Amino acid sequence: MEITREVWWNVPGWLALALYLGSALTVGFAVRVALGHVRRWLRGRPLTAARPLAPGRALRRVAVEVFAHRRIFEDPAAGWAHLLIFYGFLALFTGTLMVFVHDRLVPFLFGPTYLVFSLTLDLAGLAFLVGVGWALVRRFAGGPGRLPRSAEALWVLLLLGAIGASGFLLEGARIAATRPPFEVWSVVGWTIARGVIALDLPAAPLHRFLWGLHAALSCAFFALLMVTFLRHMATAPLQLLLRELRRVGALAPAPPDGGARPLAPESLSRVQLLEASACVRCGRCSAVCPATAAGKALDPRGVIRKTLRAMLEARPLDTLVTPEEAWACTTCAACVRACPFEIEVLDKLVDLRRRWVEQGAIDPGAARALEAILERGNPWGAPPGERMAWAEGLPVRVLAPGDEVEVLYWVGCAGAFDPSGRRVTRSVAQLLQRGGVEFGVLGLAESCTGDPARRMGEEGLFQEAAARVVAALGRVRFRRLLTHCAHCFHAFRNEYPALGARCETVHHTQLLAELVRAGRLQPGPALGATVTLHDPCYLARHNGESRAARTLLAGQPGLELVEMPRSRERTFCCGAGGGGNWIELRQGERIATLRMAEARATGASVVATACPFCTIMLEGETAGQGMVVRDVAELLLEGQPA
Amino acid sequence: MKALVLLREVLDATLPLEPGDGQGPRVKGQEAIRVLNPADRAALEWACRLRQGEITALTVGPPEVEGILRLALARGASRAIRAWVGGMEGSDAPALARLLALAVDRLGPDLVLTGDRSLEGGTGLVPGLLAARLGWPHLDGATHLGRDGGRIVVRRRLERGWREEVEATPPVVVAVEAGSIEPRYVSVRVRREALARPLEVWGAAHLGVDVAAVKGWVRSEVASLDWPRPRPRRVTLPDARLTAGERMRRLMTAGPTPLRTGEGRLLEGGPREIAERLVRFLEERGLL
Ligand code: SF4
Ligand code: SF4
Repeated sequence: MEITREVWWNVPGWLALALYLGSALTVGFAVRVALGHVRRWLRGRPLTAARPLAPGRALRRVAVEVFAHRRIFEDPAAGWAHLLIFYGFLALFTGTLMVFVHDRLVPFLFGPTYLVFSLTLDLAGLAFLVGVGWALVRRFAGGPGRLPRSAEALWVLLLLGAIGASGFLLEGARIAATRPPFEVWSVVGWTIARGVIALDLPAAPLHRFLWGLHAALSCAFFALLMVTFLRHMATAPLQLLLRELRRVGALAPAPPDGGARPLAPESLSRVQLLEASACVRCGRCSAVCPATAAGKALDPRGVIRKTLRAMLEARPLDTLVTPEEAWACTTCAACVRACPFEIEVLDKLVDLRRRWVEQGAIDPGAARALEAILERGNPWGAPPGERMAWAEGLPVRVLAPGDEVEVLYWVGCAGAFDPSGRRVTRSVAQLLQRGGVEFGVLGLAESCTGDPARRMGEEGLFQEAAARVVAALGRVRFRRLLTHCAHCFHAFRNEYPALGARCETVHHTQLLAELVRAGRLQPGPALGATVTLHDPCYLARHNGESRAARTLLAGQPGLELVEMPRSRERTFCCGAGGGGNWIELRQGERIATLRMAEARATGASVVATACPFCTIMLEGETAGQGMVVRDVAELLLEGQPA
Repeated sequence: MKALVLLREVLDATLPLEPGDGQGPRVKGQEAIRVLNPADRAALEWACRLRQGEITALTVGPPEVEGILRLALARGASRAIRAWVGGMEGSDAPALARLLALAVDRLGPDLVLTGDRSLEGGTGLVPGLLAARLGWPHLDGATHLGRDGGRIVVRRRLERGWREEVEATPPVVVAVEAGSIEPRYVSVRVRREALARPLEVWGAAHLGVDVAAVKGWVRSEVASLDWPRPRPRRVTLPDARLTAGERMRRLMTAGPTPLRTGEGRLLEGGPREIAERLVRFLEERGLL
């Protein structure tokens, strides 16, 4: 007996024909649905790339995410379950293709090749079934609450399981009927065959039935491929590839008619629509969303689902998502960071805000802040003439047009007008002086970067405010732009280059760390405090900077740094971003309350921050808790020798 | 129904002011900002809220004040007119009312809406004088406007917290309180579009007067302006432990005002306890 498999053994012609017909129909259906999605994507606006596509980097990244499951493994249990299913499926699918090649093109599955092939596929099938089983348990018997216990998930997983199981059973029946001794290599099939023989079942008819069943289930798989979350098999690689064109949280300018008309799917960008198709509803986004955690109306997964609905039903997104949802977002990008495909939620919410801003239907707090930016150049509505009040008694150089300076210190509105913000500004200025840095400020020529306006959906105001800032920056010469505000930092670093202001932007934590490393600032006497560091979203997550602040704190003798569970890139928002500082949401808890509770649980007495907005927000939660909130610059200054 | 909204541009007096070199005050440390008078802004917003027919915005002033008319167009006015007759500079309330009456005659609105007083002059006389000239009802201190069929329903604030609701048959003059309505936000895009829309400019000829006559209307003028004696103003920084929202509120409103510096005290406790302490406080000072 030759060591191989007779591919069409026991399969009557009509059944083979049915398989071909069935798969042609279902694959055709899947392709049709897929083309429908593609057509709908293409109706969207073309993408304005925030950075050029570097093919090498992009492909490497897709490979890492797809084949090494980098993001998926952030939840290790999910990672293993998905890995088993993924590689199991990949192997089985490749195996099926190999059989096809062997049968129709070049027969090659003979002898040892066949044995290795059989063994591998059996093991892969086993892995596949274990993965599917695990996934079922995670969803329907325990596991994290974020996973939807939907009928869709149940049927899809059961189908996958049934395909795997029927494949093994039919192999067992075949072996039981033909009894080739070398098939002992098909370990699972062999075991099943022994069961079939022991139970004295009619192996050949059983095989024929199972073969039909297996074929039918496989067709069902093709039919469901594009209409369930299985779709991600096709969309995920594309989404990951195109993701490389964008920066997390860097918003694209509004289209010229932005907000003037309902937010129909055509008003979204192609990538935004692709994202809607790519979502698998894993809920990782909602599990990390601060607004969701605080009991606000927002659920990021729901927003993506609604975007898909808007796309498929050709309905404006603003008829599906409510203002309460859209205004609850702090644009912290935790959802983007957690999503296996980095699907962006906040850009859709900002698009919606743009719509409501144009209609004038916005929260009064937001409206006041926007008008204040327009009329007074700062969202607080503080008298612009008081912009330099922070510097009282400090010898700070205010630059005149044409002046040149090493470091231009951009104070920002929080640093200029808010009482705790001013503390930070004074500390930074004093540290720069001690460190011998030649710096200057723009003084009254400074005005809001427009960041809050952009995130509140007032794109016209952002453009106007930004033009003012770009002009002010253009009047002086400097080597580096320093900011202690994470939001200003993000705007200058990621959004201003598109407006023609390209400059090297440093965050104060970075510059201060440089000074400490160069020995120009000394870590001074012990503070004797336990400190926890709250990473600003716009610094750690949007811009990947979380080391500098730690260097500063770790260098302080007598200071013990304890980390919160959610830190660095995975930090939890303070609630100030995206206009949250000005919008009063009555629903649910305050996000800052949750964050402060987390800080308190570390046992620290000092919460260090690196953004004035975080300081403002968290300080508001310290009443009666015996904790203080300080910017790292303040702590560093306190630690300087007298 | 045709509505005419009368607007004025004023100095933004919520900024810290100081005596200027000439007559008027100057904003400390920065350029003055001139804004639409808040009460007039409320009047315009009510006109838009009523949503009936044409809304004409009108202001009296030189070309520099056109900004507020642009804003009015952006906010929902369908037509904007700047009326100006040389010699009206520094005009007093009766002269202004007289000029406005001519404009009203020409336009023939059913409803004249304006703010009950301006941040700058603050006499609050113009609406009343205008109504008297026209022989129309004058409803001032309006905090709410509505319509009941052909009639205008106005809620008015009276002395000592009384309110009344007045129904009037148009034409009427209604003077609206500042802050009686939350104005909708008007985006920069809409504001920009308003820049392209036409403004009408009415001179003496349009109003059917001659310049010399108008000059004669102005019978009183401000001779000099005395600055209030400087009062040391203490800025109390809000307590850092309060929530951000609370701190914003304290910064933007006055918060509990100290009687004399350092003496302000916030009583906390049950109503009974607070009442007792208040009485004791007043008794100690011989006020009760
Ligand atoms: S958006 Fe991303 S994280 Fe959220 S449910 Fe969809 S796939 Fe999961
Ligand atoms: S950006 Fe932050 S607040 Fe907004 S939806 Fe995502 S996780 Fe939630």
